[in-house]
Amino acid sequence: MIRDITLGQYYQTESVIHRLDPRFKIISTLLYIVALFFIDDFIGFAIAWLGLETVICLSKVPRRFILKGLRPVFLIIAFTLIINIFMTQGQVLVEIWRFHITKEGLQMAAFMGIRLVLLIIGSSLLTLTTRPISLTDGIESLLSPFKRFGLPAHELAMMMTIALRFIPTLLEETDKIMKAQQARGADFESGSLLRRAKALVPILVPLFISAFRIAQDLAMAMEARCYGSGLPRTRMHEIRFTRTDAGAAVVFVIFLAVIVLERLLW
Amino acid sequence: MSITVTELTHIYSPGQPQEQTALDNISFRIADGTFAGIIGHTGSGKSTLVQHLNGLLKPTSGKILVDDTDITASGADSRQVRRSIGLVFQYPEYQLFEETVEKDVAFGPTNLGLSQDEISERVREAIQLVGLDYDAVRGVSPFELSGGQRRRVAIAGVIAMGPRVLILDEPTAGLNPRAHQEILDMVDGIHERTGNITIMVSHNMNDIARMTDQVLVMERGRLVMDGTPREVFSHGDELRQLGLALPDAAEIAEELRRAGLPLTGSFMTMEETADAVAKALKK
Ligand SMILES: Nc1ncnc2c1ncn2[C@@H]1O[C@H](COP(=O)(O)OP(=O)(O)OP(=O)(O)O)[C@@H](O)[C@H]1O
Ligand SMILES: [Mg+2]
Repeated sequence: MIRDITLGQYYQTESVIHRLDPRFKIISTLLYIVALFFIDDFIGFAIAWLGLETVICLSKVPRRFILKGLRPVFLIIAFTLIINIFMTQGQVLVEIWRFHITKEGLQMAAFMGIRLVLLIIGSSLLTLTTRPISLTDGIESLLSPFKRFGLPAHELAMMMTIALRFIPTLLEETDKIMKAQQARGADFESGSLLRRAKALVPILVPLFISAFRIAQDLAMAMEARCYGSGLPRTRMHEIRFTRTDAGAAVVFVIFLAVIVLERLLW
Repeated sequence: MSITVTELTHIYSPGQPQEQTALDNISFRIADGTFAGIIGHTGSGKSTLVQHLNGLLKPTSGKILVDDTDITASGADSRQVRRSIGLVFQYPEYQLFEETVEKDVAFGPTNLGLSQDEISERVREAIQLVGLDYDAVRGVSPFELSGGQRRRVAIAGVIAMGPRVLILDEPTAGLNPRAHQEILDMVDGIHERTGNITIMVSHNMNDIARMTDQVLVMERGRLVMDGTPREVFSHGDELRQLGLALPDAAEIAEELRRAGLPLTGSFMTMEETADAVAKALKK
């Protein structure tokens, strides 16, 4: 049922990748994504894929979990491929009615497809190997230099943490409300689009009320423990940049350098 | 109407790491007109069980017969099932959503596709049956009512569908003692008046002992006892091992017996215990 949907999809296991500093993982994922758009030939993609493969092996995350992340975006990838195949100008290979398939189009589509797959696998590796809480800690730490320009880094991170924490709670709540309305004869599965949209009202109204109730309770509980933002705070789990992280950073920089060199030399 | 459950098993998220056997090979029968109680420790599967009885959850294996219809069969008419078996969830007031009490109670009957006249008629009856003043509350927003009143409205919403079996999952959870008693009196009244099967999940042994004809005891997804309250509550030690208690009346009688007072028999209500104590002291 609805509870089976995994969000934030962290895969619990013990591995080097799991232990890395979340800040390093966030930055390297971002750089990897940028690099993917910098690459312009198949050799470059082969190198990028090799790098990703190494991380997958080290992370010990089973491949079926990694591929599961691709399923929801399958449509987007297919759509991108089709657009690229048919909309690119160039040397025409096949002509169907008003549509042309060009050599450039095929190449473009292949590049875009590979890029998207690598991008999604790369970013899902970040969430698969990093606890949501470490992720927000990492983001907070990365954003903290901007505090002096008035960016509320801690508050942003806190909001993200709370949102992540309450997703399962709200899913459970939705499940319960749906069942309760079904017990009163509500039907969410059949009828026209308009009817189905209307059928959502008996779920959404109680759900919003529940969400506000939960938020109010949480605010009260935080206040009762004297939570106040704006004060300098210490944390229970300090993020540390260890020697392993330094090693990983060196390897990653070499990896980026290879990609840049490949593009410049070929 | 009777309910027969045979070898019912339910597994949540089968094949996933968080796989959980919530019901494990359960069989029992509830005869027509019975007031049945379901007790058991938190997480023992009571809510999962009652959600099967009106077809909201499909069993992993096993059968549920209502009279002679198998409601778990793939061709079963789920609307018909939900219409004849009314389920009031835990904290039902959280499912209210309409602007007025009247509209909210009408939600169920409207979904059944009844005529406008029939709907209004049923709504009025249901609101009166749960002990609310129809003319006073019909136009009020459910969110302006007190907790106990809101729960009555939610129960009315199920009763208005005209179910032939009424199931209530912890109908008094989170209410103050007075509202608690009022809701129970209401449930008792409805059971008396309709003569239908009523099933109540509860953590309160006093209520179970006083009100029910049959008690089902759940423990980690299994049905460990099934009998009249007197039979079930004569197994004090076993119940305590399951983290359950005896009704106060039986508990007091047991203490007095241990202190040397010659009390025989089993005691479900305070009145019974008081009579027996008075008799024993007179001798
Ligand atoms: N939607 C669900 N998905 C997965 N597991 C569930 C779901 N609902 C309940 N469970 C699990 O099934 C088991 C039985 O739960 P159930 O709600 O039936 O217990 P209960 O006897 O009603 O408890 P309580 O007295 O707390 O209401 C529990 O271990 C619970 O964690
Ligand atoms: Mg329950």
